[in-house]
Amino acid sequence: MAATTADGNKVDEAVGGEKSKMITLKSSDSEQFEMTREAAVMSQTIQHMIEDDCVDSGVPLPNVGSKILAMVIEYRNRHVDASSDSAGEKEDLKSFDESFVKVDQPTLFDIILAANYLDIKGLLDLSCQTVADMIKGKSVEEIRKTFNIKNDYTPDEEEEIPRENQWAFE
Amino acid sequence: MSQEHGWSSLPVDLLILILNRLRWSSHPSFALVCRQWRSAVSPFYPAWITPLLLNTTDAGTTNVQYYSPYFQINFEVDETLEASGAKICCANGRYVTLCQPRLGLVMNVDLLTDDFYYLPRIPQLWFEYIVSDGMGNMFAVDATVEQAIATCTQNSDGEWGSWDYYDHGPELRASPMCNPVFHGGLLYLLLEDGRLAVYDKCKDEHGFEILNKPQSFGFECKDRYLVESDQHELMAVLVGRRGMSMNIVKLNEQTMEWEKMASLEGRTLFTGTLTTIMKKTGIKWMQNKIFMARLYDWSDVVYADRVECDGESAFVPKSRGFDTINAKVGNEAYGTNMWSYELGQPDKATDFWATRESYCSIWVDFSST
Repeated sequence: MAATTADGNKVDEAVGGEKSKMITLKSSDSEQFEMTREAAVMSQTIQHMIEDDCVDSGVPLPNVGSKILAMVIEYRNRHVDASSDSAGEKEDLKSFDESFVKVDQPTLFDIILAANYLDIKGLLDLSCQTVADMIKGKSVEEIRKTFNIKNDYTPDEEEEIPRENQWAFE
Repeated sequence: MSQEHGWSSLPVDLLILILNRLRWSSHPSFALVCRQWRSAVSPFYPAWITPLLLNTTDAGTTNVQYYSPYFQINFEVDETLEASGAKICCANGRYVTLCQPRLGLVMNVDLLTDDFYYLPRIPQLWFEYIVSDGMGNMFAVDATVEQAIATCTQNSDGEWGSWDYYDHGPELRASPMCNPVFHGGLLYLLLEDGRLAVYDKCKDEHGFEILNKPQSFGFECKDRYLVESDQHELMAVLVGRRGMSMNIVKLNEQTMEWEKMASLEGRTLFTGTLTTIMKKTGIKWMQNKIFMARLYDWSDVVYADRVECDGESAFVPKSRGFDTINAKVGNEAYGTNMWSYELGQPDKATDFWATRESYCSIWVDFSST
């Protein structure tokens, strides 16, 4: 699973040395992933590292595990390839995005953190919107249940806090 | 991979990104989930809970302020009405109609989107009232000296067509400072003595006709405001000298007489400007109350941005240090800034003496109902 995907091969055919230059990424559990420089720089974090010229032996990503890194790479490859503006492409990309975030919550949580750490705006927007959609219309109890969050308020606080936005509870 | 902590330990800046995608009305629930989530929620004041009093010193050059009778805060935003010296003629929910008589300009403004719609020049320099029915029809009425009525209609693209103009009959002594009101498809003008004059657009040639009944209010009053209630009844708010008495009368459409109301039946009245609004509200302490557009202190403002999110508008104070806990959330407490009266509690009436009206103010409503 650590090898470049079929997409990587396709990009190799592209003209221009810079674009097809391969970058190696190293996950927190030391797995290595190759991807094209073009796809890699969708992450602002990696782009800065490349500019600062410290990537000869690969880009270390201590905050991102291999499972998530593989998913992020898939996301980036897919979005880098989709350069045309055709309506068909846009529809396909939309379906890709929709199924991409149909994951279990721990994975979604990790995707958000990874997208934030790697500074990939598109993925961050997508995953935050997914979480927002999961919150919409739910009561406090339902939200806690959905995300497995423990209520860490004291009973006094639970009474006091609604008063700050009393209108919502009237 | 960090699963040790879970969603309750999501960093605040990420929580804020998620929160920004939720409408304002979801933010209180978000804050109650757990402590970390609450730290992402900043103070905000919904603009849709009750009607707001839009007020400004000059419609062109000074910032608009919105007074909320619920929060008892006058929010000042970085917007002007961009119509110097204009008169605010009427309000329909989120739309306000302004007139610059010297230029002959009338415009309809959507306060939430800042869209301005200009009407063609009015046919005469001055009209006593300019009112919209909220459904794309504008009526300009002059009842002094002799009646003149002009009407204008908006098409589906939002553009206003030309004015139709009619000169009519004799002068009507209309009640000042109170707009005519639409009721049952007709335009009702309240006359000084409590009588009503009615205009039917379909019968243009007749102008306003004075109804035989009602003949009078049966009460002495200094100021009068006409309103159509939330249940389509025609009512009038009668204010005694300096606010020391207040009566609400409803038109009994069988007998065509004004009848005094003992209670507002749980509703709330927002009055004292050309437009009066009557609404049902779930807020207990506001029920059966009448709010007049008079404040003790107009200069007590909070600088805020009006932020729209998913169709809901809220005021976000500019100063981070704004103390929300001590902000007055209205109740019976002493020191309420807007003058109000509870129907059926005459012994609690206080007179107007320390309050003032604004130069330019009108009740607007940002709720979607």
